[in-house]
Amino acid sequence: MTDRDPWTARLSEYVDGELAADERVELERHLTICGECRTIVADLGRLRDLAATLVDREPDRDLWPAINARIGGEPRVLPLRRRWAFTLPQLAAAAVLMLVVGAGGAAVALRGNGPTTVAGPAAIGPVDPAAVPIALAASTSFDHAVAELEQVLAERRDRLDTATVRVLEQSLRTIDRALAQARAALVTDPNDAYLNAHLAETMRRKLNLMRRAATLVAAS
Amino acid sequence: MMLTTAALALAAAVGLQQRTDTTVSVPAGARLHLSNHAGTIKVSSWDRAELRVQAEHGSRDIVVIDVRGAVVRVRADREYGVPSFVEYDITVPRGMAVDLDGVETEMTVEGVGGDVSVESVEGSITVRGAGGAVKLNSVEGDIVLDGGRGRISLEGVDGAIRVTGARGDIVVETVDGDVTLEGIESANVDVGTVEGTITYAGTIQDGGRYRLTSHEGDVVLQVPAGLNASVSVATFEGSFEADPAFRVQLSSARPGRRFSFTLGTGSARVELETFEGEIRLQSR
Repeated sequence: MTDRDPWTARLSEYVDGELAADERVELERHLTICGECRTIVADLGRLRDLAATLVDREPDRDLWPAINARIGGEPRVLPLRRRWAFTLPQLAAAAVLMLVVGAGGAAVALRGNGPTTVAGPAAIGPVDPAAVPIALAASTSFDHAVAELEQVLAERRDRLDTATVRVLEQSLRTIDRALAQARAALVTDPNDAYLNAHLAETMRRKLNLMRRAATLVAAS
Repeated sequence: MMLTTAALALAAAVGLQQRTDTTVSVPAGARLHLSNHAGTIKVSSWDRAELRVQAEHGSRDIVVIDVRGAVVRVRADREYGVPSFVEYDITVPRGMAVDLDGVETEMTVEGVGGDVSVESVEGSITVRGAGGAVKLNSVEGDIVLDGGRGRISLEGVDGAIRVTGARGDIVVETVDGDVTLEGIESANVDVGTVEGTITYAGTIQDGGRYRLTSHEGDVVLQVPAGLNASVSVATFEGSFEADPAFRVQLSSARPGRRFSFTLGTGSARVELETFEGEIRLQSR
């Protein structure tokens, strides 16, 4: 993807099948040479598929406008039907949910055969990512996925060099401290847009680090 | 697919160190994959359609150069176990793409025109003058990137990250490390760390997007005072200060956790965030 790739803003239309035929052909040609756009299309597709497993419900309170303002989105216009037109920053925030799913998958892959409980779409519950705060919606599944990965890493930590384990554990403690501070701050002000987004971002960082650690374990 | 495998067993019967020096032809557009568990990797380029592999390694190790179509794999093998320590000095065609990985390995890449991907667990990574996309990933070690015109993605865990003179899109993420970007001429910069300080010194291009976020660290933006940007500032327990040269107009002396202001035409978008550090807007 080049600077200001003109196709970036059209990818959700593509995923939704709303592009004109000639535009679709042109975009598909672009996708053959642009790995970034292919990744985004894949993520949007996964998000769409995830959404298809969820049930609409009214949130207890609608904090989305604050979150939306924080991540730079346009004011929400209630859609006539569900449509996944995410800006890139929104996609990044929604990636917390996707990372939870991926983290669960990583735990399964690392454990190999045998029964296990993982965070997945069913565990996420009836959530509409376009209508509730990402951080709050993902929190339970996040904790679940983290616990799964922590267990996997604890079982296999001896595969890694002790210095590497020490660095990873120290960094995880750093993130945990940040998470605790962000959560404590949210207790005092649950509607704060910055705090919600910051918590979501920090959760994403932790999952990202744990997945990297899991990948290292698997490769060792 | 044509298969050409050059297995080089040059180990001498005596001596702890063995030296390999071999040059092979590689097809245009080829990509190098080199994995080295421990040691060093140095990659430079030349104007030949050939790959030269020089290596210092143990006498029981053999260096294998495996050319399959457009993929060239270089590795050291040992009959039993993993080669303990290998020092590679590789010369590649200038436009060749390079993929390197190692565990306890220091890696340096200079003047490579193709895409560069480097992954290290313990060991520093230094890349200079890359012409393509750059993806660098280290768990425990500093990352240094000098130059870079393509998309730049840097990911660390514990170690400093320093980028100078880069022009492509830049994404940097780390946990326990400072991030310093100097002489940057990019329209798209996204930097995040948990416990480090972020310093950005460069230009703010009209229409560009710049996002610098930390949790415990400071966020320092050193840019020319005449920029055109919509600046968004967010913090929980931190602070904000701006050089008078920017003439920042805030609605109150203590504007709260989140506020924004416009400089010039407001064309670029700048987001500065830290949970509990200082945000400083400095003129340069």
